[in-house]
Amino acid sequence: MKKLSLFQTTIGKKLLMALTGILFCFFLLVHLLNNLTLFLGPDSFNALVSSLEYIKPLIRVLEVLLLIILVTHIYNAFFLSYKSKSSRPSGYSSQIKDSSTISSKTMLISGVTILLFLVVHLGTFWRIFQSVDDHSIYYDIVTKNNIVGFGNPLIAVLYMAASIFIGMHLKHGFESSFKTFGISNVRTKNIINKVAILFWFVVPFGFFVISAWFGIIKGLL
Amino acid sequence: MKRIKLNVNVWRQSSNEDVGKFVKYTLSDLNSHMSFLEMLDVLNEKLIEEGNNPISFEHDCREGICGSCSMMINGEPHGPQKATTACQLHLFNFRDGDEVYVEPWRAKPFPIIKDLVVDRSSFDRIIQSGGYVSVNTGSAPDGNAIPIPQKDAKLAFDAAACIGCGACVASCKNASASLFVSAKIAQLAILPQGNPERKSRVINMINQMEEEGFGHCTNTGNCEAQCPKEISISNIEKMNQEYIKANL
Repeated sequence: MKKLSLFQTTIGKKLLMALTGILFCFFLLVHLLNNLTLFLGPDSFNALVSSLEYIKPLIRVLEVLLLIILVTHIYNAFFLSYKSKSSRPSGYSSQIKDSSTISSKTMLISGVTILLFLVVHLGTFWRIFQSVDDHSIYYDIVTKNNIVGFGNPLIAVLYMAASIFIGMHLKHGFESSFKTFGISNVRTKNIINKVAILFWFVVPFGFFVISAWFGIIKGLL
Repeated sequence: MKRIKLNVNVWRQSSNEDVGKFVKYTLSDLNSHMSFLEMLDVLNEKLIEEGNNPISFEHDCREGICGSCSMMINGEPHGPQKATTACQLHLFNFRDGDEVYVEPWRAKPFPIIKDLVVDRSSFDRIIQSGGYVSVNTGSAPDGNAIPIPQKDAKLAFDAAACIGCGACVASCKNASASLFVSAKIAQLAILPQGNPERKSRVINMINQMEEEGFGHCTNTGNCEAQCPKEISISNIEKMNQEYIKANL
């Protein structure tokens, strides 16, 4: 029998998914903290985005790392999903009772939806931000542009929906990661569950509020 | 004592190569104190009297400890009663006139032999790969020679309650054997007797699990909910921990 190395096994691949997922959670937290400066007004937000220009080489390295993290997460997700299908080639003929949570049952659906959103997000805000020379218009692009920005209520609704899918994905994903690492036990479970609320609820809710405020509520006031 | 009527839809399949289907049998005047397997016995007697092929199903102890009576009853491994094997499931859990669907475990590493019987030798091969401990030959060791904390003894015993029936694989959306394998690994990893092979055991057993083609664990917990012996999913966390340590 051929001996498999750690990352050739499904447990090893799950470890990679858990690790990349957790790294993404922390990226989302930093991303949200940056985005919250939108509430401080145009000057603060424009100054923050402009300041990133000074550390552009570092940003580029981080972007490449994020891409590697993303590709690793997605590749292993599809690989394991495909393997699961081959582990049960013919399914049950009767209705199977499944007591697992909705968020855990829909990980692939929420994951693919987030990926599609990411394509739109990078194709609009990220791409436009790369080509802007005038550092005083970042705020207006986000809050007032009526094609790709929150000036378009449909974009706001898209971002709000994406926030919900991120929350659903992390509801299962964050806690599950610690189970995969084998460090979730009776003593640590309560702490992990509390920290998990920050990532599956507070962070997505923050993104939701930003989209709702600048895309819909502010226009109604 | 109540008498009930059941419409039992049983999966009939002559071999792994055959395309199976549900066949409906109506059974009247069933004693509600009968076990599910006894109901299948009654049905088989009827089928034999009529000159038909009886339903093949696996059974042995009929006491809920051998793990043989593997079957999906109304979409749940071993049926609707929690923490109960099919042999200990009694007909008073069903209502008069109920439609009951019985089918075999579905997983690539559990090929169907006939009707409700599947080949679970993949579990045996996993155990052979590492589910053992080294012992000194000679006279029997003293029972209290190795002191074991009560907490550890309890955890190990809870894991050892796994009867290897395969309900975890059957109920998992990924056909993962993680709960079974982890229970066997944890049971020995917790105890000092399991220490000599601690690293090689987890590596070999997981290697064999992969070789057999079981799916991965997504920590959804359906295995724990459906396990007739209520094996905890925390054993999977223990297995992952042991596997990471063994690879470091």
